[in-house]
Amino acid sequence: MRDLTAPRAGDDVASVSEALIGEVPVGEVPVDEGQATAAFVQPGQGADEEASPASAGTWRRLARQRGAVVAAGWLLLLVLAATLAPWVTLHAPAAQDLLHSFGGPSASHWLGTDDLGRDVFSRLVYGARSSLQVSFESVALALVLAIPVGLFAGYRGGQVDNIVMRFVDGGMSVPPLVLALAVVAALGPGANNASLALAIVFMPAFTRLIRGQTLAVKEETFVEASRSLGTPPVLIVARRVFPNVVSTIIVQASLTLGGALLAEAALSFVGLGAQPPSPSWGSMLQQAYSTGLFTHAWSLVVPGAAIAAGVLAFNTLGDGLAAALGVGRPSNGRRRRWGKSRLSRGLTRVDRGPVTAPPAPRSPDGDTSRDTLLSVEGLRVVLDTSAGPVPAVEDVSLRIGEGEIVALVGESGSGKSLTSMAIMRLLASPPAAVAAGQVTFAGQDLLSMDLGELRRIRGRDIGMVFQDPMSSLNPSIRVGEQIAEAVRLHERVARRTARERAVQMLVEVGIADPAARMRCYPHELSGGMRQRVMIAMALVCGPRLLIADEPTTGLDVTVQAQILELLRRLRRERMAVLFVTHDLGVVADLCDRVAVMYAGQIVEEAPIDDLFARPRHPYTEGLLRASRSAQDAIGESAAITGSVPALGRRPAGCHFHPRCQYAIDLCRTVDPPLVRESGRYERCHRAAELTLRGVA
Amino acid sequence: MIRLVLRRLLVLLPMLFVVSFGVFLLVALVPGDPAVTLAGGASATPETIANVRAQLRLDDPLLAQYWHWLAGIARLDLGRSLFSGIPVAHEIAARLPVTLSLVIAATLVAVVIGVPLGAVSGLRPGSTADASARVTSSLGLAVPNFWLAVILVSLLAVRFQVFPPTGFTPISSSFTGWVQTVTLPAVALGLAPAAGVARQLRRSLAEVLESHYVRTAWAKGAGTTRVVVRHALKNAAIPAVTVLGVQIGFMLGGAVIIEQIFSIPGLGTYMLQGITGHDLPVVQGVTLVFVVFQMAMSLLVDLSYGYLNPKVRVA
Repeated sequence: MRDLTAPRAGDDVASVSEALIGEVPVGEVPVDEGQATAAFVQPGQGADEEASPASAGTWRRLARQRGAVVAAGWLLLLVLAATLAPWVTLHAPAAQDLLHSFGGPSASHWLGTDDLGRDVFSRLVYGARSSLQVSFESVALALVLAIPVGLFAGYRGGQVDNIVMRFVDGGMSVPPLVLALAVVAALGPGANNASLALAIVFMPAFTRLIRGQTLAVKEETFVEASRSLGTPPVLIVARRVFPNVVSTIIVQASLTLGGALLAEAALSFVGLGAQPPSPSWGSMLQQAYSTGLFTHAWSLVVPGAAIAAGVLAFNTLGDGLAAALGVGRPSNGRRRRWGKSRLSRGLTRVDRGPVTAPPAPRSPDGDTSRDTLLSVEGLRVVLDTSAGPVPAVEDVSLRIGEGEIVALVGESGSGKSLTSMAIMRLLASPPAAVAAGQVTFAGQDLLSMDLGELRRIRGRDIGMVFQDPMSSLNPSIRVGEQIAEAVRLHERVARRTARERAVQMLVEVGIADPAARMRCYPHELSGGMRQRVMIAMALVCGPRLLIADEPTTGLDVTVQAQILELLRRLRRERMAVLFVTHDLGVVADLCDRVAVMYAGQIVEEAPIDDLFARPRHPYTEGLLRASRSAQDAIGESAAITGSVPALGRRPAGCHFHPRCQYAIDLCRTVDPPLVRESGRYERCHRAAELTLRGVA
Repeated sequence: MIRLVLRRLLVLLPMLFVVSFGVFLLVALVPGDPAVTLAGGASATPETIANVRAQLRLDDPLLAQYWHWLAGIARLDLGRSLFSGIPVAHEIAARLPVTLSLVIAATLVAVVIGVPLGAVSGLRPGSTADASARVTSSLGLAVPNFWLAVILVSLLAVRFQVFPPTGFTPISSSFTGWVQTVTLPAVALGLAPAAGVARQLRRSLAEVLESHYVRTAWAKGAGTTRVVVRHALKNAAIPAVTVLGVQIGFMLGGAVIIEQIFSIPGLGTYMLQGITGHDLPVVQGVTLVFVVFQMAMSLLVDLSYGYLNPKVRVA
């Protein structure tokens, strides 16, 4: 529920935590469904839950993180020991016993004694007092100052905000420890002055964080609603804005406490923190260093370890809280389901289990009309989700002959893109894995190849055009180089030759002034040009098969026609194409055959003219009527009602039955088999009896 | 690129102005009568007190004092030490190269350790190597650098006498001598930044490797090395460089303590002398230099974005 403010607020959390922990986010790519959908939760809904960050769910999420729980336990123990110091120690921290200096651990001195024979354990416990006190004081003071300033600046905005932010920037431009030292230099040494100095150090970062959060929350509808009701600003900030900022403050406070502990130790190490005789961890370490370095090196261990463990605990707790409260980026708390050694980079895992025999070829008589280039038999792709493995592609079979253009058509979510990428084994594992099937390209089994073997086919024999060229092109490499790279990966040619080939290819996809475009970065090109660069990259090595996922979407009509013409010409040079699209209209005059996919299955496959004239599956009929050119032909608009079922929610029986107007009881229970009849296939119980409407 | 630098400078200069006022105001934080306190408290002779008062112009109105101080800075005059009388700027000029060379060495340590560590875990998230790298970097961020320093000294200088425990040889007099004396402090100072860089690089590399353009690189037939080095690392480096820039700020603070431990005659020891001696001009001067130092670093980081991310160049 927190996610409604997280995307924007996250940036600021990071900018502050970068100052303390040192981590910044890259553009988040949602990996699993939960994460992707959480970003779209409507603002109003979450408002109430957010008001109480310490809800039961938060505690549960926190309790699930073992590290954070251990850290919290350790900190609690420290605080208790520090508070109850006189009762948990056997000796006064300053009691000297010069006869037993540097004594080892014993029943009376659990951690031994220091150079003056003082009990190390007592000093550690009493030291925790001043170390923790300075940490908590400084963070609390910084918050007391930063919360009102940050809320005010963020809510008010304008000139006030500007001025406050200039001071914040100024404060943050001084190296933190240097600032603390400078302030202590003016104020004089001592624990209280150290607290004050550290508060001054932490305040700018807190202010910036709270101000940023306020800015984000201010624009939310529930705040604007209060505003329009005439609620006084102070009340809006107190009741509506502040509760939404609390989670972030808690996380940041925990991380800052770690920094405070570290800084306090540094100050007292150089004698500027707690003054003798009251011990602190930093001064204990200093003492051990100046007296025991050459003779009793182990005395250095205890105070340093105490500091490190404390800082580690605060940091771990902060990370845990961030994950539990959903603040900022999902940090280490994000558990992905990748097991050890299962990870295979750049190559979809094939996990066909104990394969007995390859599935029987779909058409025993074979397709005699052309030589088969690519054959996919019984392909099954499984995705690992938080709810367990879910089939995404089920028993897909396809056959593409040399020089043949086959369209793979379906709505989004039908599994057509997954299928096209599974052929090249480009799906990331995890979450994806090929669970069954055969993929044969020019007589070679792609599913049993290793990366080295497959590399020689990728890009050279099979070219691939992806959807969304903006994200599919490398943002930091010139497009010309990206195209030329494809050539140089497969052919021993000079850099210049590769570049010339790239220019030539850009001309073929219809890019004007190609030499100049070569030097552009993707962000400098228009969407249509990026799309054509993508196509040029896939074609530059002259592949025998092009797998193109929506290659003409986003191109204007003339360019689209140009690209289709290029594909037609290349077909005459025996290039085959698997054309993945949602729009039957685009491929109508180009393709030889069409395979229609629905919910992970191929539901119908036929030569293009037959399919258009006489669809045999109700889904195909619906697609035809929804296709734009078909609409023009029949003069009516008709979309299929409902939508493709989500992964893992595919109904029993025929996956299409809930949306099918012809469904009978049999369709609801039995998954229909793929049936071959006179050169076409369909997956429908009622294919024989129904007469469906095509387009002329 | 030049425009980028100019624009950044236009932002940094006013900021420096704000900071300089803050640094100047330190004198207002001094408890009691600043002249008395800074002269050494109750035991100070009337002459020293009058001397301090005159030198800091404590009888002038605050703004006049600031103006005078600022005018001095413009002439690279940071005042004189209240005790030795030596101009602060002279002392800083002599010590700056020392601290600079230490911080550069520590940055090197951070990169040499942090990048491979982050790359190993980013390449194989969830593996044993990743798990141990993550534990290492969590520890690296929690261990105080001064503790690490004293442990290193006690192990590698006292027990096994590989390095000298203290002292410093300037790089200008002997390079090998410099390497010998700078290694331990640089490792102590650079390990936490290394952990920060590793943590960030792991995260961004793992993310970039799942990006669409990396998938495109695989589809072209690129091998693992090429995909990682050519297509992923550069894009994943941007946030890691940001972290490094921030960490350099931490290193400046850390250098104060580390220089003290190793008796390195840099800005840090000078600042600590100033602090313990209540020598405010020294503290102010060094603080200001540290601020400029950090600003220069952040400018460098910004410039590296220009190299790593072509989008920034036009912005």
